[in-house]
Amino acid sequence: MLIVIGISLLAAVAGTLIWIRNGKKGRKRERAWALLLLAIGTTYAIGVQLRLPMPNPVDGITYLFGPVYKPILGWIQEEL
Amino acid sequence: MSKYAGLNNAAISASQCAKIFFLFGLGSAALIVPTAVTAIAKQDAWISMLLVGPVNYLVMAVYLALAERFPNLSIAQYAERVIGTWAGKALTFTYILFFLLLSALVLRNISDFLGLSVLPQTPDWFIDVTFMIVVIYGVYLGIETIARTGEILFAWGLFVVLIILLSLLNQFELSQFEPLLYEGFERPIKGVYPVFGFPVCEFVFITVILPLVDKEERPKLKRYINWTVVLITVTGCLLTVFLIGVLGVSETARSPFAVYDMAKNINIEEILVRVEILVAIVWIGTVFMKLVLCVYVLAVLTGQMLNLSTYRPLVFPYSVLVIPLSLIAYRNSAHTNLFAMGVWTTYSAFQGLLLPSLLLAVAAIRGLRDNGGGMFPKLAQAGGNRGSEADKGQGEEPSPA
Repeated sequence: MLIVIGISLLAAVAGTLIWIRNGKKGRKRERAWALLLLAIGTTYAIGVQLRLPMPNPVDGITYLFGPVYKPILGWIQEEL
Repeated sequence: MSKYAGLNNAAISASQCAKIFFLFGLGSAALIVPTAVTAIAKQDAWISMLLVGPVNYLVMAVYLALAERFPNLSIAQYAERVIGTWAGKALTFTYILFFLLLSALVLRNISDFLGLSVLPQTPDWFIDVTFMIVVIYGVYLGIETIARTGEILFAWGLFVVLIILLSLLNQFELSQFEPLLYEGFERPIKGVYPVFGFPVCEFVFITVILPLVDKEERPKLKRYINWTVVLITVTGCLLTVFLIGVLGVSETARSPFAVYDMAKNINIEEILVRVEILVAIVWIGTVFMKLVLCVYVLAVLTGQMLNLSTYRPLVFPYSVLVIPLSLIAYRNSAHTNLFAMGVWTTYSAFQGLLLPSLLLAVAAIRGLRDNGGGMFPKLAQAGGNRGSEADKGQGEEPSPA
C-alpha cells in the first residue's frame, strides 16, 4: 500500500511540474498530452502494484503473431 | 554543453551516429543472444553470427535508401508524406507501441541480470526506478548528449571486450567446435532467426536518428554505417567463438547470461581473477545506451505524430509507463524464452523490415523524394506554426547529398 501512495505522490508532483513548466511557455498541447500519458502510466503502475488484471501487451503480440511465429518455431525446433 | 543541446533540432556527427548504432547493437543482445543461437546451431553458432552480417547489411540498406529519399525526415514524418496523413499517423502509432514494449523489455533485461547476478536481494522495481532516473535525465538532455556518452562507452566497450577475449585465450579449446557442420548449413541458417529480430530489425530506431546527422557529415554516413555493421558482426562472431571455445556448447546454451559466466573463468596465474564485473559494467553501459535511445525515439515519434513543439514533457510520463510494463512483461523464464526468441523476431521483422520496405516501395512507385526540413519547429513558433507549417518554411533547403 505504501508503494501505491508513493506512486500517487510522485505522479502528483510530476503532474504539477509538467503543468507549471509547460503552461507558461504556451505549450498547452504538450502539457495536455503529457498529463494524459502520466495518468495512463500512473493508473497502470498502481494496477500492477495492486495485482489487478492489467493488460499485458506481450500476450497481445503473442496472439497476433501466432500464425506466423508458430510454424517458423516448429521448423527451427524440429530434431533439436 | 550547448544551451540548445536538449532541443530536437540538435545535430550529431556521422561517427557519433555509427557509435550509438554499434552500442545499440551490442546492447542487451551481446549477453543474451549467443545463448539462443547456440541452443539452435550448437557448435556452428559462430557461422550463424557470420550469416547475420549480410542480413543486417540488407536491413540497413532499406533504412539508408529511405534516408536518401527523405534526408531530413524521420519515419514518422515521411510515412505521412508517403501514405497520407492519417495512415502515416497510424503507422507511427505502431512504432510507438513497438518502442514502448522494447523499452520495457530492455529494462526487464537489466533488472533480470542485476537481480540474478549482482543484486539478488534488491527488488526489481527498485532497480528499474533507479535505472530509469538516469535514462530520463539522458533523454531529457537530448541526442547530442546521448551521442557524446556513446563516444565514451564505445571506446570502453571495445577495450573491455578485447581484454576479456585476450584473457581467455589460455582456456580456449578448438575441440569444442567439432564436428563442424555435421548437419550441413541447416542449423546455422536456423540460428540466424533469433538474431534477426533481436537486435537486427530493432535497428529501425536509426530512421529517427539519421535525419539528426549534421548535413556536412552525411556523405560519410553510409560508409560509417556499413563499417559498423561489419564491426557488430565481427564482435558477435568473436564472442560466440569464445563462448563455444571456453564454455562449450551445453553450458553456453544453458546459461542465461553466457558472456558474464564466461568472464568468470578468467584466471591468469591466479593474478587476474574475478574480472566478470568488468563485463557487467560495460554491459550496463551498452544497455543504458539502448534504453536511452529507445525512450528518446519513443518520445520523439510521439511528439512528431502529435505535432508537438518538443518531446521533453513526454519523457517522464513514458518512463512511468515503461517501469510497470517491464515488471509484468514476462511471467517466468520459459515465457521469456518463448517470447524473446520466438515471437519477438516476427514482430520485430514486421516493424523493422516489412513496414519500412513497404514504405520504400510505395515511395519509389510514386517517385516521392523530399529534401524539406523535418525537425521540430522552434519553440518560439510553438504557439502558432506547428508541424507541417514549419516544415513548409524549411522545405526549400538544398539536399545535403
